Amino acid sequence: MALTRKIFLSILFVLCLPIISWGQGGMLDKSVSLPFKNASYTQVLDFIREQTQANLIYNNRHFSERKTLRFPKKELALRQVLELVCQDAGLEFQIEGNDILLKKKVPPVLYTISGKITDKESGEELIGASVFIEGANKGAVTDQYGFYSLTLPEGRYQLTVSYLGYKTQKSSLQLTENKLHSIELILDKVELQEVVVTSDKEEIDANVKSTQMGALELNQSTVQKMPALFGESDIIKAVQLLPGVSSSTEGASGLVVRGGSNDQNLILMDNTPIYSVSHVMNLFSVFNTDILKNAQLYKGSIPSKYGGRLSSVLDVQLKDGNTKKTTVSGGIGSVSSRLTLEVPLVKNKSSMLFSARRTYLDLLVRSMPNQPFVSNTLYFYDMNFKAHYKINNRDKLTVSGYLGRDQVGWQDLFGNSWGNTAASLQWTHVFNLKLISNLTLYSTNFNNHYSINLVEPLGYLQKYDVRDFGGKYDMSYYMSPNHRLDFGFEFIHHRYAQGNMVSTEDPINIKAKQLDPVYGLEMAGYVSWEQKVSPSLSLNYGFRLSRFEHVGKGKLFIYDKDEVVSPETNEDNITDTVFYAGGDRIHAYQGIEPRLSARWLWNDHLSLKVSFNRTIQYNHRLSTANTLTPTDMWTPVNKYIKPQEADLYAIGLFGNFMGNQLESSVELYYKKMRNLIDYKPFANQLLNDHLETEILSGEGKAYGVELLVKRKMGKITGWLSYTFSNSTRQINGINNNQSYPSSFDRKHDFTSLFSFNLSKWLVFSANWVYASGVAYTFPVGKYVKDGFIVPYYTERNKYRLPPTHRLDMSVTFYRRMTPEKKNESSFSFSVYNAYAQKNPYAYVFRQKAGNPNETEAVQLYLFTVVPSFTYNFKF
Amino acid sequence: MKALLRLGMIMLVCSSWWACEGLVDPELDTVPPVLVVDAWLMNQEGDTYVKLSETAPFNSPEPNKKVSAQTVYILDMMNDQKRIDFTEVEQGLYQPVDGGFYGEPGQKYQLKIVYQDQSYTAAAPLLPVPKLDSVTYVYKGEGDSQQAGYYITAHFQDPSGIRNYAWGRLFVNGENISPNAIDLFDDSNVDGRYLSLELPFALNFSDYGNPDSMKVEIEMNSLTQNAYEYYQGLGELIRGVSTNRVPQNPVSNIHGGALGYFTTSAVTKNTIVIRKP
Repeated sequence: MALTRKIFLSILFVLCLPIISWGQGGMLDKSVSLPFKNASYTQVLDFIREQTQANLIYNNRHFSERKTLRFPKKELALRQVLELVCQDAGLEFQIEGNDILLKKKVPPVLYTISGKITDKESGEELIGASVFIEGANKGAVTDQYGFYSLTLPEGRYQLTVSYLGYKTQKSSLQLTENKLHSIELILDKVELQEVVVTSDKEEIDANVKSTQMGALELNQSTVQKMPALFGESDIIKAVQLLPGVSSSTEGASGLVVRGGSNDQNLILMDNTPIYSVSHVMNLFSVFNTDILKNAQLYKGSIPSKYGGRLSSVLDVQLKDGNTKKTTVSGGIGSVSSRLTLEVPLVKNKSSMLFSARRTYLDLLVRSMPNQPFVSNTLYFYDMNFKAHYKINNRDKLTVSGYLGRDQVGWQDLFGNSWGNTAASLQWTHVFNLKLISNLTLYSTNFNNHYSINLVEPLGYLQKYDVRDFGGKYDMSYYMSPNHRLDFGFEFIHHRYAQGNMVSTEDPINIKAKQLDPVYGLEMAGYVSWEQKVSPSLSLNYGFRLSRFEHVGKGKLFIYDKDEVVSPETNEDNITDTVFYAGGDRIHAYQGIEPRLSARWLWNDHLSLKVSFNRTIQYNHRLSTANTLTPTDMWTPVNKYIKPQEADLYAIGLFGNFMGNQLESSVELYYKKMRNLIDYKPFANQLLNDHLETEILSGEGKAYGVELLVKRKMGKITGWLSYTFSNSTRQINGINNNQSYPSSFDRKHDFTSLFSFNLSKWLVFSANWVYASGVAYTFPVGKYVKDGFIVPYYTERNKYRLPPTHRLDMSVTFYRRMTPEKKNESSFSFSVYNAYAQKNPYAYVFRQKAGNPNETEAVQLYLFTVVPSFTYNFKF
Repeated sequence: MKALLRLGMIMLVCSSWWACEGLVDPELDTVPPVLVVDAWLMNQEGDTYVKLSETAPFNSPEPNKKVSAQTVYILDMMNDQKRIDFTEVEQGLYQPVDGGFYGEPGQKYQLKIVYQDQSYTAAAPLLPVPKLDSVTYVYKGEGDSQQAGYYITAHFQDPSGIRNYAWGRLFVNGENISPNAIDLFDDSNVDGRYLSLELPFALNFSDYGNPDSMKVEIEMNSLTQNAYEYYQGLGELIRGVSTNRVPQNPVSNIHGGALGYFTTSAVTKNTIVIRKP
């Protein structure tokens, strides 16, 4: 086999020789005059024969008699004529002496090189590292498993592997067969010098060259350098600083992406969805930055492998754990502490990671003299566990788990506790150098407990939880250098336990109540094709086919109205109840979600991208508030409550400047959302099994422009972003059915964030954010009822709160690891809202406490200056 | 470690991160005045009235303008549409012409008002109220999360099989002790039980000018489900604490575009006297 290949290659080499020598011979420059604009192949070949006296050797079958050729000019060089002839017929030409041989093109022999890029010190797979082939001008970026695959013609190549913060590694490679080539990169401890990168490495200019738009990536070091509220750096807070993303109110941990609601974001922790990412008071999220590896936010052109949420995907990958040596790292902060342990189980093959953190806000508060918070509870803790085993070069198994809990209590009158638990098993399998797969099986749960004990014998505990068992199988097929196919499927079994209530008193006074859980099956299959059509045009097209079945055991109320979700319907319209046995299908929805994007490259530094996305979401979060609150409840769609749908159109210009040091983009989007829901005024949301009578439904629209300039390398890194946006809702039964600004609509949003590496051991960071006022409802009058002065409201969200702005700063001192100093540590001091701006999150209109005949308007704001510190260590 | 903890504490004290308040003066629009109906039909003689006024600019220091209607009357829907006429006793305040009128639980009433040639109507049933059997008190010393003082308990039987809604008020020596709040009760979780509800706060002589005794009166007004929801909404607006929720007017039962509510209610009261030890 090898011999035949060698012979074949020698022949090919010989055949190629004349082409090389031809240029010197000058025969190709001879001009051929063409009397006609159009001519048949036979005619053209006759012209050549007559005018050059060359022998033409070809097979008649390769030419169609009926086809004609068009010439741009009456006289052309022989080279041009031959090229035209060959191009059209799929041939190539060779010249030997006086002979011109026209023959079928022989495709070059291609081989695939693929492997994993990992951190040499810890064995962690690196996501988004660039593998670049010098000369061939081809490259690839590692996927979320650190895997890359490139297909190239046989030959000798120079491979350059680079990743921000790591030393670039070059190696040469003789490609004569398919090869597994994994590379370990060394962390660059001195990452401070100005690096000017001019070559077009895939990673560096992905901003311009990928078909992806509306996607932004953050890694641990970026997040850690940002000034942190209470000293706890947080990925959700970092994401909120990106263009097109905002928090609903100051300090909240929800995400409002391109006019979408808080519930429309798919937030994944190691491929497992997390239902509620907020910790105590919305100030922290469930993601512990110590073990964060990489986070990718998709707010437009969402890849078809993701589904189930309308507006965005935040895919967070956590570290696997060090496979080379045991490390202990952690931090002590002003309100919380963290500890992470990484232990190799089998060197280079397996490790386990355990991480935990807890806030001690309550301990601090209690230790302060003369304060009114005695016997109040206010804390959270969370824990992550992860273990993986690389069975061989092709297979890797990972198990991971998360457990987090929040406790808030006020004396013994009120208590609220909520948390997520998640567990997953992942199997990454490399079928061959071109086909890799990942199987994830997971369970995720969010539960919320409420205890209220205001009136002595009526204390009760109320519980609510949502649980998913899911599985997904994702495959990536690197077909050829110009084609990549991603496909897979997903299956989720949902259980929404809509709540129960039990008495906490003895003797029992409150009647126990239990709503039956609601079950649903969600399934989806997807295909996505990445195609480089030409050097300038790349396409990514695919779709997702999704389906949701509301299944038994359960029940369905029958109404005497056609339109059940409407202002006119209430529980009196229920005429009958149908009960279904376990597994019975009650109602089903399905839909196709096209995901298309295209990129047109003008030159290496400028591209235009367009995309269209449809997304479908089969559940809703019912909330009376605009921020995430523990009383929020997820409910699946049923016969009456329809799935949310969104269409997103986007167009953007992407440019890199100053040798790729500066990335910039301008994106325009228009989003239309259908079947959004909102509670009816003063709806009865608790322990209610016919929520369809308590809600209203309508549409949403959003459009905006997002500008981003980003610098990823050098002494000063950071970004500037500006967003103009407009987001409205039109819901029948609200605001007289007229469209109104959504409750998180802000017109202008400006963020500047930078990090200045002053020296090896000192980094200064600051960010300044400005946002114009959020839409708000003001009273237009007052009236008296039962002696109370009551504000009178008309149009919803017609007015605006004042703009908000603040400056956060932090300074971090590093002590780096050296042969003498075996450990690494840093001390960071942050100031949140440095110039003590009182940023209102609400206005309250009420009667004056002292003089109930008069009214007052009061603004509420959360924090002014919040100084904090964190001490981080690693050894 | 201890030093770090101390540093943390100092920083926490420095940061005023508890929700803070500040007075503001936003520019507010004003719309043309709207009629406001504050009407109660009670099961006790002399308690039924209709008050009419208009909305005013929110910042106006003037009291809301009381207005007079062309016609105000109530129809007893289940009693041959018997008409109860009202008379204006002072500007904007109407009382039944028949001073001995009282509503009867189980009946349904309709209010009719003609104001500036526009007619307004509202209809509601008058629901019975469970009888307050007794009011008791107990003295409790200071505890972990408990204030020292007299704790009041109300005792009554919740009727089984029907939903009951009520508005409760507590008077000490004739003074409503929470004039800025609406305390509502519903029996959704305790239907049919005999209830002894201890109120979650303590009464102390010192809070009421150190009298020799405190006359504690509990009053419960029955409400319909719609009225209960209206007062829930009204309570939210006057507390002004629903900072996360878009504020909205509570849903009125008056047709014709007026604000306010026509409340039909039966009342039950009980009293106890606490003497200074």
